[in-house]
Amino acid sequence: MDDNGLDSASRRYLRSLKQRLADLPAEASESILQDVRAHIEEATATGRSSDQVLASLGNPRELAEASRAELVLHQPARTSRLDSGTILGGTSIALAVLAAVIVSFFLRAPEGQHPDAGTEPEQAMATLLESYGPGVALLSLVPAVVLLLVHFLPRRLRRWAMLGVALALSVLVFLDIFSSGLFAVPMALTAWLAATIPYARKPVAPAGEQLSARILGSLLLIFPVIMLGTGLMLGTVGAHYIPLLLWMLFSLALAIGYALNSRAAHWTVLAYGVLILGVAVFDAGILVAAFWVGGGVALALGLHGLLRLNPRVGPTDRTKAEPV
Amino acid sequence: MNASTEKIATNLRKGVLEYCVLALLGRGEMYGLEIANELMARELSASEGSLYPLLARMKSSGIVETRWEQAAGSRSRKYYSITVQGQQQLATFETVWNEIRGQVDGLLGGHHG
Repeated sequence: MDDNGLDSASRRYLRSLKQRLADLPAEASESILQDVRAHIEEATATGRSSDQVLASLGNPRELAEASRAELVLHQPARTSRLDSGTILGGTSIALAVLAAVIVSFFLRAPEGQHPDAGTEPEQAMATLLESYGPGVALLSLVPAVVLLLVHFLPRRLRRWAMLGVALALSVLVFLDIFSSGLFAVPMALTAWLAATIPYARKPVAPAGEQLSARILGSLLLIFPVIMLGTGLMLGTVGAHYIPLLLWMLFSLALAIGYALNSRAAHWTVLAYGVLILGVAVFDAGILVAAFWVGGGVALALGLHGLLRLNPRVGPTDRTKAEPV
Repeated sequence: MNASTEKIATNLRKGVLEYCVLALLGRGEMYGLEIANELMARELSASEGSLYPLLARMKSSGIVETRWEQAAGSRSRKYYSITVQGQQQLATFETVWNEIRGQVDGLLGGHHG
């Protein structure tokens, strides 16, 4: 197609229209552009000014909107949602970066000792960075870099690379280098999810897997409550009863929601996990590892529920999606 | 035309424009500008541009088809014509239209009488 015979305003109009039609099926946008071009050519040939012709066509934005209304609404909506691989991979990268930051900058241990060895604040406490220099900060970023690199592999290789990385991270948990093993738990969990969920033969967990995942999930959610409840009865936990009680009820509700496979419960578990991870980063003191692991588990449970268990959707969720 | 007249007209035209195009093509094949001019002259369409997305959709659903013809100059023209499927749809529309028109006229007549 050539632009001969069209003035600059018409050419600009067609260029703009072409851009705005770019996301429509090629055949339709081609046909519309062809027709509009012919319309302009023919109409100006009969003596109408191009300004007048363009004005009565309507501006390119309106025309593109009309095209979308005609053509897109008659097709199933294209889903632009992120795929589970990207979500899970991205989450494990973020967790790996945060873990590196905690391990090198925030984690204070008596120099050269296990953090459990002594807790007196007077004792010389040093972060790993202070003890071993910037090299250790770089070293702690290795998992994040490896997770990132996996993303640039072709899809077929990615699956096996992700499995390898998940396995390596799990080994890292038990090697416990610089007593930082526990900090690799959340990234290892999400890496396992990233290595399995996107490649599963059935996108939604079959019945047996469903049941065990839901039972395991609610047990994990209720586990800290049971631990703390026992502590209360034995009198080892302080008497901040009311907030504790509320938290226990909340955990119980989450566990039930998870067992019932409710979408809202999965989202809440996910947010709960992010919140606990946030507490671990900013304000956990001596409990940082416990909070980090607990938050990671909740985050992984939420993600697993949303991406793999095909949760029950409330009656309101589906209404706006499809035009009639 | 005032705003409310315009609004009523726009809503009504939206539903029938497709069948007006089919009816026009039922008389014989036409190229884009011809259809646009006819619709504008009959005040069946407010914007010439909206015709082309409509034609693209009608073509993809198989009720019209196109044919290129070398016109007098160097330019070739794309002619639209109605398909058998389009004719069936037009016939269906005519039945429905007559039914609705009868009912609406009856109501309006009752209103005036």
